[in-house]
Amino acid sequence: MSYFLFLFLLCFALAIIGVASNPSPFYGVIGLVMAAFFGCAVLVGFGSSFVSLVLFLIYLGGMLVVFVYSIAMSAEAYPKTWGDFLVILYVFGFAFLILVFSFIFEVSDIMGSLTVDNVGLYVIRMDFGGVMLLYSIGGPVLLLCGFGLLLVLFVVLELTRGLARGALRIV
Amino acid sequence: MQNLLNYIINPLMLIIPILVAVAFLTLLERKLLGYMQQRKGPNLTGPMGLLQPIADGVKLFIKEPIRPTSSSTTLFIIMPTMALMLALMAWTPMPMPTPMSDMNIGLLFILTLSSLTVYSILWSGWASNSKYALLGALRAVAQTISYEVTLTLILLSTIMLVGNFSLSTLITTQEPIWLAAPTWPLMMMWYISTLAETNRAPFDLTEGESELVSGFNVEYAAGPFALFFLAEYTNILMMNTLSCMLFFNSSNTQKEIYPMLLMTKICLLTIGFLWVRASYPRFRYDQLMHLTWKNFLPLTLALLLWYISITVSTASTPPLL
Amino acid sequence: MKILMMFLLTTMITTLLMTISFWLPQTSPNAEKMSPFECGFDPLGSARLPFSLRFFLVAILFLLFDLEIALLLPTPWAINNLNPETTLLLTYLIISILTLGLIYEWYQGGLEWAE
Repeated sequence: MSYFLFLFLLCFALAIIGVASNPSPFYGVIGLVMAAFFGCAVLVGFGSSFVSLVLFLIYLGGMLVVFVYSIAMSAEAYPKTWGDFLVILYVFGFAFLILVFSFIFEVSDIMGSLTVDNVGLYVIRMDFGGVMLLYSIGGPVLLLCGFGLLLVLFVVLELTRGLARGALRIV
Repeated sequence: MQNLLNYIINPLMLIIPILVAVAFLTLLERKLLGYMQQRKGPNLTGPMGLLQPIADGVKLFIKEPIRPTSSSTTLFIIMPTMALMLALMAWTPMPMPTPMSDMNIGLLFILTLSSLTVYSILWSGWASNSKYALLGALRAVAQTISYEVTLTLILLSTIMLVGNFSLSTLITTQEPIWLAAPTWPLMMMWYISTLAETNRAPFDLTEGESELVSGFNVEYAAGPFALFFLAEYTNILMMNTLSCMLFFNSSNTQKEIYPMLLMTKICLLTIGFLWVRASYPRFRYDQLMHLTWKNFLPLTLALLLWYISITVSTASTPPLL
Repeated sequence: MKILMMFLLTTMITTLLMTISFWLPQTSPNAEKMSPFECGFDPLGSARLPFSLRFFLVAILFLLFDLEIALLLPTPWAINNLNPETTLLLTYLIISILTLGLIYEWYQGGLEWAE
């Protein structure tokens, strides 16, 4: 199990390198998708499956879809791909940076294999119990999130008001 | 030996029959559409056309695949693979009556995989480097994501009566009575939303030949087209299985007959899908959007309020399991 | 573990199918076949479309509703809190915020031919 965690973390680091060195937003998004996938797998390995799946559903299945949607409508026709020499230079640069930082900050002993709810009859994992608290003690946070979303709705409607008078217009 | 059985033969025994079922579903569709249109479907290849799927498969895999001068050949090739892979993965938590992998958030897993299917449409349309493919992909994605909202809300309302997101709990909940009885408005909206989610007639604008000449898969030739096709029919079967499990589940007391009953109901619901295809003309795009954003969404929100309030106020919340 | 094996096996099977479909047939490519399809003509103009605001608005609406649904997802467990009245009140408030957003959007014409 810790082997899988290590593997997923490694792939996560590689995907982040891919995101940082992307030649065009389209390929950067592919790197983000990979990074989110491996990040969620690492989360599952550490025991929080609900949060990981919600992250998958909302981030990958919502936010990145909207991002890719907007890019598909607006990006250039022939973007540079990862085969270009300059891009490969960037990739190696970022990989080198990651190696340097991993030597500076000596990270070791992060691979546990037991979670808090490993022993005993736990059908409710620890993150289900955590999100339950969002509805009792964490009520104000929940309402804050709800109001934040309402605010975003207002902002978006103002930006696209009338389809011709807002900041974003139909071309 | 135990590992071999558990980890290799078990998944294969799930995947291969699904692919065979999908192949024969295509034959069923063509025969059924034919008889509903006062003609016979394919009946020349083999007795009553039973070898037609095999002939189709052989034809599609020996036709020349096209690698057009697209903006990204890698994405172009990976997308059909990803589509079929996601469609097959969604069968993992389905209890028939014991699931491949008993997840305690199985429903969320299936929802996540449906959300990821959107990517295969989007990227295949973009990578085809063709206006029609891109337009078809954008319309298909807008349709799919709109109906996903109502899909998730209906699921949430039904789960209030069940107690958790695990699919095996659904069997226990429906021991006394099918969930279709207390949640029949939701069931009707769910059926229509699954029709829209799988881009199936009358919501099949993305493949509307009269308008877009096959939409986002216009540049795909033989083998990759077959994979998209397989993925679509696997999605249809998976959505119908989910509908059966949510609303018409059987009792678990006799494990031997459970699969037969489940499959019979799935077949009936799938024949309903095909019947709908033969009967209704295609929706206009704004009618489709009007249906989900102005008709289904307010109704599902109100019904969600109803189901939460009723279970709490009559002290009949399901146990925390 | 089984999920992982299922993932690996499905990927292997689909990759196998793709490989067969690309390497089994004999190809004879020519310019007509490889160019994008436009009813037999050469493609008129670039393959990129002008930015369509209505599609973008639908996508943003979907995103907001998806996020609010994510806020509502813990309710089957939250119903079993010590005080379900608090849970119920909070759920009502979240759903009414959602509905308020929908009503505002509807009246401002954001859903108009939201196509």
